[in-house]
Amino acid sequence: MQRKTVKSFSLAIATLLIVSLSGCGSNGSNSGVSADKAPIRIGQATALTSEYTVVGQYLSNGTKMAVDEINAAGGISGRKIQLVQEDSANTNPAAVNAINKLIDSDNVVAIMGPDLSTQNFAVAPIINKAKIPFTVQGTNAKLLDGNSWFFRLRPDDGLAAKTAAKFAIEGLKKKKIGVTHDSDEFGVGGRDLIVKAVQDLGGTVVGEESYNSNDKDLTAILTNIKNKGAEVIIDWGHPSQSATLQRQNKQLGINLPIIGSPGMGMPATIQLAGDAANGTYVVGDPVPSLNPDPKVQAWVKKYTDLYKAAPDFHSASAYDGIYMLKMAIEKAGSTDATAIQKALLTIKDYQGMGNTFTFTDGNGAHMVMITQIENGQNNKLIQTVKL
Amino acid sequence: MNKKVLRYLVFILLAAVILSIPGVMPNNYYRGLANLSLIYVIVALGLNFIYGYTGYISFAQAAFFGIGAYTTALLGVDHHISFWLALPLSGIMASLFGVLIGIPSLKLTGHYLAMATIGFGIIVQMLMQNWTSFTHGATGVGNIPGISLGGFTISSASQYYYFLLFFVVLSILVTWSIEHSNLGRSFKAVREDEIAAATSGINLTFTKVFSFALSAFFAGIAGGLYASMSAYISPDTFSFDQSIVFFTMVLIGGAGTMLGPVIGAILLTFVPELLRFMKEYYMALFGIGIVLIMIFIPQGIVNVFAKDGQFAEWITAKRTARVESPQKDL
Amino acid sequence: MIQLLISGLAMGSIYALVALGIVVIANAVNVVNFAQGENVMLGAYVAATLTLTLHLPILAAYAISIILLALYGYIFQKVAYYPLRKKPFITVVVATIGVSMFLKNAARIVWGPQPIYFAGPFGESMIRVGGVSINAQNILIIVVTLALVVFQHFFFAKTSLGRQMQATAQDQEAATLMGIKVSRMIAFTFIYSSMLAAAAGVLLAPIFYVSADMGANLGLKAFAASIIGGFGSVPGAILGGLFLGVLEIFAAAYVSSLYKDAFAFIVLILILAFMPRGLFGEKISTKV
Repeated sequence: MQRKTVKSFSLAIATLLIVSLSGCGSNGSNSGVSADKAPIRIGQATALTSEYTVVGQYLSNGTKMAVDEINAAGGISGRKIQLVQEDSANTNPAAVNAINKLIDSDNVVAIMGPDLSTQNFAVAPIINKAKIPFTVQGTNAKLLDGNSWFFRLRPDDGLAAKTAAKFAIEGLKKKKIGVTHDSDEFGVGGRDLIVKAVQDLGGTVVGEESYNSNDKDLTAILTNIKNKGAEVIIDWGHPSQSATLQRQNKQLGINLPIIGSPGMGMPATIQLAGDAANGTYVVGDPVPSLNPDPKVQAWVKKYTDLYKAAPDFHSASAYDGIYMLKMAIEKAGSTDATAIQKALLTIKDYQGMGNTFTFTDGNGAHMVMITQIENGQNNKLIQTVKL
Repeated sequence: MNKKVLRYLVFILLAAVILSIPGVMPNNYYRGLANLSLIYVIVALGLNFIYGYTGYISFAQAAFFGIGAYTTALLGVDHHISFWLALPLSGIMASLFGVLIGIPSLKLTGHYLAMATIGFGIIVQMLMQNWTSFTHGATGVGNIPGISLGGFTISSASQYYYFLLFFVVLSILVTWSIEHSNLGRSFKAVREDEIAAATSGINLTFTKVFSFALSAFFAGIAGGLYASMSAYISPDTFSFDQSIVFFTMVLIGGAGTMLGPVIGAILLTFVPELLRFMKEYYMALFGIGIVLIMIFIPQGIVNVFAKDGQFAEWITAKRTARVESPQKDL
Repeated sequence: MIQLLISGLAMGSIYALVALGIVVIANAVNVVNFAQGENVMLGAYVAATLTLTLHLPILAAYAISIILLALYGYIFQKVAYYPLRKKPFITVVVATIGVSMFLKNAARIVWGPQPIYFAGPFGESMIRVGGVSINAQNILIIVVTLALVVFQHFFFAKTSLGRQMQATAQDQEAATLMGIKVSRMIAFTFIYSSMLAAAAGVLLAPIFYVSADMGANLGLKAFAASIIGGFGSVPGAILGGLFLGVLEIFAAAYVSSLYKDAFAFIVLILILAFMPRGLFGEKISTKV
């Protein structure tokens, strides 16, 4: 390699770096546009890369759809919404950087938070310091402790886990319960809640087995659960492993009934599990397609036409999140953070595409559904549970 | 103009630029990145001991970083031990683990050592994630106390910048003095030829294990700083992927030089962030970038601008770095 | 028990196949290809696209995928290895890591983030023997891996091309003196390794699902398998793969599913502590 080429290549990199650094200050301000006409910036940090893009895409689509609708209808009090999306890459440092960028560089007035609880935990100190309304997708029961700027759009795992345990024991009349879960924060948090709920209801957890987010074979886990005498499996995990669990449950002839976490009902999971998904129970966010309200049915159709794929509860909650932010900003009459926070806390019985929202504290969604998968669709309603 | 005067002028200019960074940065997002890059500089300087100077591949640096972070976090949260006591303990704890991995690695070379360090890193991460009663498990450790010094609490990003800068300067000074000590010369001798080093009276066992411990110590200190600055840590941050990023920092900057890891760490913290505007495309592009850098400047950026380490030599007025790759024969 | 063993052997065969792809390259050019897992992913995606989108018969899709990956292998070595052939080992390794980052993210952009279920030729049929159900795909994986190992043995021992590749791997200078076109042989090695990746990809697709991240952990496990067996040894890679697959599943069943991976890596480090060159590695000659 010629030394000159090498040098110019390196210089090019250095120049690129300097140019982009010097340019970075300019994108934050709306100079030149009067404040009452300038667009309202709303940020979203979600997985645009990493394996969690599968969820990130639902969130991103739901959000974009709401923003486009609102802008087409004239915006919020005459101001358009400008959506700024940043990648949280499913890691804490990336989520922290994304949130810092949205707050400091993009001057957003509110943020749609990243997908997993751990990232929400990681950014909580920043949000509390910056004092900015922040919608939460993470479902960890402890996530809202001390975080007064967090507004959760999903039912928390405490409710879902309790409902799953109750359904197993009282609905299915099975007292011996096997718990399988992902070894990550979501799965472990879910497991603890399920174990406690089962004990409170007089059942026994006969086996707890965990898997990692990249495991492909769950034979050992299923065999163990079966050998320990479980009559039903409650699973708390993510699409790939949840699908494998259902498949191998049938393939190995174990055939235990499975009650799954919300992820079990995602179209992605059902598609992966194929026929094995039929019969599985899902405890999770209300399923939009099961909502008889014609408004919701029209939304499901519009979404499906737009993105060539059916929406899931993530898309619904993101969509509802944007509309509730709009309501709050209109009610507050300004984009002042404290005013928006106050206005969000007055939302009562808002009928969204997914849940029905009432924010007396940061927890807005108080309803979960027990559904059963039939004919490859998560479309059979067993029970709706409200707190 | 006198060469000496010129050197001082450049030195003062450089110091002025470094000190003015928090003021120049447009907002706290960039200040936050600058702070993160300073922490990574310390990690990369540490990795440089084992890889750059001694010539052994280690993919366990994120694990040492994590051990340091967990030590400070758990001592602070569960035992209410002050940051100032927890920080050195973080370094010591990480270096104990460095010794632990250093001893079996004495017999290992090349691919085998690389794999052993990968395995070690994965085991550490699994323990962080699953040993819930001790590490708080997958949920992570939150509300890690901040840093205060005689009634003054560090709170703003700019204050953190100067605080971290102090540790970076300290790390550079320590690196510099080790590099020019007998120990540093032993490291390099082992890198060049183990057998020759042993015959010339260098204690191989001590040198290799010490190099591992030193690498881990730097990472542990950086981890402690990271935990206190971010107030929340969780196991998924300290992954094999992160170890690869640290390794790439050293390689891209220039392994075996003092400035290389510094430049590499800053570059690899800022570049992916500056590529964010490409949304879902930026990581793919980043991958291509790494391949291109490996093809065009495999010896590291520092060595392009300073033939035979002239730049560092010129600044420090000492004979220091070298240009050949520190690669051992595998 | 039998179920566990078969599942373990099937997973082990997959590790072995991927490890084989890593080892043939390492032997030829002394480089660990960290992108091998992503090559597997590519093979699976190509076959899945041909079958699910273009509705080709599954065996034709397998064949085309293997051929396309052969072509890819040639390009890969031209772009990411050839310019670096005189560079130190670790430089090339980091370059392959760069390639793997690119492939993973590019695949997600091209094929989308949703994992795909791509059934094997036997669909979901199960073989039931004496109350034990065994996935037909698992048997297929074990059989094909065995067949490929036998094929490779004859290819390197009996054919002219195989012998030339073998000679190149053993001693490049001697091979040059013998009139072997070394760079061409290296290209063939990359091609062969990519074809192995495609074979692994289509075989494991029904079990792993086809997604951009399917290869990430696989490459690492395969590398571990080849290290356990003794790096550079072909029988070592195969036995190391089988050992790792069986170890993992029994650790999950009888030790702790939580610490399964940690357990596997502890065993790996213990093996290395007592056998620094793995179970079947060559003896250390130059070390003190």
